[in-house]
This record gives sequence, structure tokens and C-alpha cells, in this order.
Amino acid sequence: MKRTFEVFVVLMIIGGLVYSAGAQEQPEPPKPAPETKVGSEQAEMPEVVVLGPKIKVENPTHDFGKMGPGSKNKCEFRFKNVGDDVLKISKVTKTCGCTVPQLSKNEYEPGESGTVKVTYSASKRAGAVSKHLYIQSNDKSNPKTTLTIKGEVENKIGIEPKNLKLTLKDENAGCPPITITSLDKKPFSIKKIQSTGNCIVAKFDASEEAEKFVLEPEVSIAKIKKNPQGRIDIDLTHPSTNRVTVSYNLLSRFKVDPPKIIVFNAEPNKPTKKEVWVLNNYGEDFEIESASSEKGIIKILSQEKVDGRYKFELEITPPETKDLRKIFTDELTVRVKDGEKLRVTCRGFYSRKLDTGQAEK
Amino acid sequence: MCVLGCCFALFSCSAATMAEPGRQGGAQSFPVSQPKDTNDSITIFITGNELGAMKPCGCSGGQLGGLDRRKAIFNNAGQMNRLIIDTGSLVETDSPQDLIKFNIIVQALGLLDYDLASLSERDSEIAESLGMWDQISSLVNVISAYGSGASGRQKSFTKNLPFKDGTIAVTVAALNTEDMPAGEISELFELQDDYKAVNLLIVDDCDSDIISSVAEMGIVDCLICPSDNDEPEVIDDSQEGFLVFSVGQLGKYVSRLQISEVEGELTYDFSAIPVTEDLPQADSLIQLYKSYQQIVKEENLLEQYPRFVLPDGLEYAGSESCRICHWYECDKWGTKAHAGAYATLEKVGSQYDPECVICHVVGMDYQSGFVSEQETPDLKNVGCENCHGPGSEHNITFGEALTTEPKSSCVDCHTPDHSAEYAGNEEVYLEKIVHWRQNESTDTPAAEN
Repeated sequence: MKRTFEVFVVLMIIGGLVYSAGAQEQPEPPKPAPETKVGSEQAEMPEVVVLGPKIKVENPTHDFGKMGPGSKNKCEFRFKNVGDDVLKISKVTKTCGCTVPQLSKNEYEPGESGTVKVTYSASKRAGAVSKHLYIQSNDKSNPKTTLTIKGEVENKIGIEPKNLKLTLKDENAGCPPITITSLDKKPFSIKKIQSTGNCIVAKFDASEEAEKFVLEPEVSIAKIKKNPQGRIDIDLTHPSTNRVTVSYNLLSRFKVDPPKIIVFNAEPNKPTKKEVWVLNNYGEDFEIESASSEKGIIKILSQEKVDGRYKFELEITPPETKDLRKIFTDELTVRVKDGEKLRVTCRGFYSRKLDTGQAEK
Repeated sequence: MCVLGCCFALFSCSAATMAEPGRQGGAQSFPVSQPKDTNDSITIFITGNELGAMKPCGCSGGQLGGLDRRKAIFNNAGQMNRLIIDTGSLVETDSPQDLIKFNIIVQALGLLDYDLASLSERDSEIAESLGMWDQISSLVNVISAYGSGASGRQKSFTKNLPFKDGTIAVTVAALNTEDMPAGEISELFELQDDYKAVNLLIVDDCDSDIISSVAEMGIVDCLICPSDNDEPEVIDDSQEGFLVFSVGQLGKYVSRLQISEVEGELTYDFSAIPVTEDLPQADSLIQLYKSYQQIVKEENLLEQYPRFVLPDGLEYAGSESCRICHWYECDKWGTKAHAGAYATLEKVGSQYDPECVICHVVGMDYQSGFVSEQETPDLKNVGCENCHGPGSEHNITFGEALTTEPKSSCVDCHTPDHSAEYAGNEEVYLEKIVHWRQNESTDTPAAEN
């Protein structure tokens, strides 16, 4: 019996030790999640988690879908204070070019909702759009809540051609008809047509409404010679596109190739050789009267006529400078016998290897 | 694709994330710290779609961008462990002003130590027409998917960067999807047998078919798509080992791809760093912008600006001509910011830049409008005729003929890019220019215009 008792005691001790050791190795059983209670019961709770103000946006992304270029699009973001303290919104910032009217109030009680109203003016260029707004508040876990607006700007009006390549050789400068089409089938009228220097005009009936117009432009040769590059703006009554633009370029009589002389990695007094060609775009024979440099940085080494074109061999000698970060410029003027003057600008950038004053490095 | 020894190892895009959008706002500043040359990771900075935007106009606070501020971002990565790429579309058109910008931006890429520029179709055409290919190559490595192969144009570029105890080879290739099916891209990339490799592909079009066919090839790790958005964005990171993103436009952000190794697998961390006003400006780039202003002045772009003809023989008369009758309004206007609009340009040397001048003078879009301070001094500043229309007929008839179109609206100039705070604060802005008797409402511009 005594032995039985001793064995029992030993087992109890071992059991106690094992339990004790086991208890040490076991993770603590999870504590019940603390509850936040109101009223008199709250004082009895050992732990209280304070949420503070907490903003929750119902749907932080708004997809406008297809938008017309330059169209105004509206949406709303609803938010709620799901915390337990007053939510204070300091401001709504944006990188979207949106209109966000001032919020009617800046403080929201727990459980209270509010709305951010957004008007987004779509870009005039077609393509996907994704922009952000930020609600700045005293929600410590999310002080800058992001709102996203997205969509796709889609051209509702098609215009062909978008660029006119005109020549002096062809009748009416070779100007093709311009076709304007409503891609969403909504009829429209033409309100106004204006072109650079009034070089190009086209008849239209402002009272006529249709899904498609084909304009027959008329080119004034005298005017376009003075404005060889420009554009035609066509104002429309289409609900989502109020203007379309066609650019034009008149093929000049002479072409200088390359049209500009650019020298990178230049070194003072270290000459560089360049070739410049002058040719007549219309295949006319021509003579060059003179060629000269404005500042003497460009030196004409030779000038010869090859297959109806003129070839100039030039030597560009970058001038001395105290500041190698500055550029040097010169201009070569070529006079054609009938009086036309062609200007070829020369620009040079000094080599950065020579520039010891790279303060930012 | 990543090759380790002769065994393919999977890339993990698990960390490929867009920086938290909330961290991209103008208020977020990028920490400028000393560069670190550790071999634990490599950093690839990617920019592109500048579209001629070299510097924010400065007309309102909080504008993002500026070539001169990029260096501060690049310098956060050690020179040995970084690669700087521009994906092209340096300018938008081939107008005389954009041709000048093209030269300047190319020079800027050199000054900013870019490793590579991938020229777009338009960039290539401009480089060709200006005979600049070789010269550009003397400043920065160039690839392009466009143009003839006769000039020896490269379509891919590889740089080996030290990584861990070895090397990582980063190959960047450009693809014209009309020219070469996406399924044939393997020839753009050389398979690396004995070290790790990362393959980036720049494409001109990024529809879902292209994305899936590039992904299926299993060669490309990152596909860089064109963008119409200012902000860079992750377009697709759903497939392991394949990240699709765009780099934004107008130079407002720098995209950063950080590559490191976790448990034998390469991971990407993609983020968009805003080019904020508080970043320091690089001196050489400030000087380069001054050179741009000098060229713009010398080339006399203001006089060459294409102009429409005013309707019905109308002409601009200048704000002073209004004073004789509208003295009260003129005097009040003289105390407002619009009356000093031209001086703000002179302060920053932009008074010869048509892109800036047009919003600081009267009628530059039209013949008889502003040409230069010398030729048309009465048309400096944002004057009466900007909003009320050309005044010649109104003056001749002593007010009998009302002023007519063209009349500018506020949003012609107060655009999101140039006047970020205007949208949403129209009434506040209108209040700033009140120059009419408050009890009269005739011909008062509407704020929402």
C-alpha cells in the first residue's frame, strides 16, 4: 500500500512536471476577441480597441466606359465613416484635372456617409484613361484614400485625310476631298471652317445635318505660298466632338538636306566636316547665286552642282567658350538666282567630357 | 527569360506592384539619398512618351515633370547596378518647335547618362530627316524597330550588370508589331546559357492578342506598352514571370523596376516615381533648357506661328483702345494678374516660346494678333479682346457694333496641365479677375467657360 502510495506520488510529480513542461511549450490559447461595448458595461471590459475614424469607400473605382474626346463625365464616390470617432476630411486632392466641388461638410460622425462628386473632362486624344483622386482624412490606417476613375476616350468623328500633302505642281495644289464621318451615327452639321491664312476654303451648308460630309477644299496658291504649313479647323455640332483639325504641308520649291546642321560632342577649335545638299523638289533647273555664313563658324569648303543638285562641303569649327554647357549657333544662307533665300541653321553642343563643372554629380 | 546555368528558373512577379497610388501624388517627395553600389539588386529606370514635354510650364504649383529633375531620381541607384532606358516618342510632331525639342531631348538623354533610347517611328523619321542617327548614337545607345536596316540600326541592346556573385544580362528590344508578328520575337533576344538574363520588349501596340502571344513565347519578362496616360501603370501581372506595364507620358513620372533575388528566384518591384518640384535640378539640364530658349528666340518661332484670318475684316486693337470708354474696367483690369501675364514669362525667359506665349497675350492664333513685344506691344498680356473678341469694328462704330467671336474661354488656357487647381475652383478664379462693376452683368465671362 505504502509502495502504491509512493508510486502514486512519483507519478503525480512526473505528471505535474510533464504538464508543467507541456504547458510551457503549448501556445497560449487564443484570447477571445475584445468587444467594444457601450454604456456601463464598457468599464467592466479589461481591453478596449479604439478604432478611431475609419473611412470606407463603397466603390473606389469608377469606369466611365467609352467617352467622347473633350466630353464632360460625371460620377460620385460614396463613403462612410465605419470607425468610432469623427472622420475629418482635410481635402480631396487629384491628379486628374477633374472638377471636385467642395464637400458640403468636412466632419462625419461614426456611421455617417458622404459623397465626393467628380466631373472629369476627357482628354482630346483617343486612348485609355486611368486617373486618381485622393481623400485625405484623419483615418490613421488610411490617411490618403485612393479613388480611381477610368475609361476610354474614343473618337466619335472620323476625318480623312488627317494631313494634306500639297504641291505647287498640281491643280488646286493636289488637295484631295476631306471626308468627315460620324462614327457613332449621330448626325451633325458643319458650323465653321477656318484655315491658316485663309489658304484653304470649302463650301458648306451650315443648316444641313448628316452623318457624313465630303468637303471639296479650294486652295489659294498665292496665300499658301506665304503659309506653307498650317491647319484647317472644322467646327461641328456633333454632341461629343465639336472640332476636328486637318494639318497641311506645302511641298516647298527647294529642299535642303539635312535642313539643320546639328553637332553633338563638339570640341572648341576642332573642326567637323558636314555635307549639305540643295535640290529642287519640282525637278526645275536652278542656279545658286551665293552662300555665306553669319558668324563664320561654318566654312564652305566646296560647292558643286551634281545631277541638278548642289552639294556643299562644310567645315564647322566650334568657337572657344568659357562655358561649355552653352551651345553655339550659326546660320548658312544660300541665295538662289531667282531671289529665294534658304536658311540652314547650325547648332552645336559641346562634349560633356570637357565640362568639368558637373556640379550635380 | 531567366536562365541560371543550364536550368530555367522561374521568374517571380510576385512583388511586381504599382507603387501605392496614394503615394504618387504631388505631395509625395522622392527621397534623395546617396547612391548605393550593392550587388543585391539591379534597378532599371524607364521613361518615355515625353511628347516634347521638357519642363512643366510653372504656371501653377504642384506640376510634375522636368528633365532637369530626373537625375535626382536616377542617382538613388548606384551607377554600376542601374540601367536607364527611354522608350521613345520624344516629340509629338515634326513642327519646327518639335524639331528643336528633339535635339534638346536627345542631348538631355546624354547628359542624364541614359544607357539606351528606343526611337519610335516618328523619332526615327526625324532622326533620318535631320541626318542625326550617328550623332544620336554618339550620345546614347539607340535601338529602333523602324526604318531600313541599311543604316545598321539595332533592334536590341544588352547590358551586363553585376548581380550577387555574378552577372545579370538585361536585353531590351523594340518591336514594330506590324512589321514582325509577336510570335517571332525570339530573334530579338539571345539566349544566355551561363548567367541570368532579363528580357524587356518595347512594343508600339499592346492589345490583348499581342500580350498573350508574347507571353506564350516565354522569352520576354517585361512587356512595355505605349500609354495615353500620364501615370505609369501595371497593365497585367497575372502571369508568373511576365509583367506588362506602361511608362506614362509627358515625363511626369519615372518608372522604376527593381530586380532582386528571393530564394533563388528573381523578383520584380515596379513603381512609379513622381517627378516632383522638390527634387533638385541638375545644373547642366537647367543650362540646356536655357539653350532651348535661346534657339527658340533665334529661330523666331513667334513670327512663324501659323495664324488664321479674323472673320469680316476684324482686327485686334489692343486693350488701351478700350480705355477711352471703358476706363473703369481697364483700370481695374490693370490691377489684376492678367494684366501682368507677359511679365511672368519674361521672368523665366519663355517670352519667345509660342507654346507659352499664346496664353499670355492677345490673339496669337490670328493675323493682327500678337507677334512680338516690339511689333505688337499693345497686345501683350491677357487683355480685353481675349475674352470679349477683337475690337476694331466695336471701336470704329463707338460701341454700336458689339464685339463678336473669336472669344477665348477660361479653359483654353486654364487646363489641368497648366492650371491644375482651376478645375473645381472656377468661382475663386473668377473672383480674382473681377474688373467690372459688380452690379452689372453685361458680357461677364462665365466661370464654367
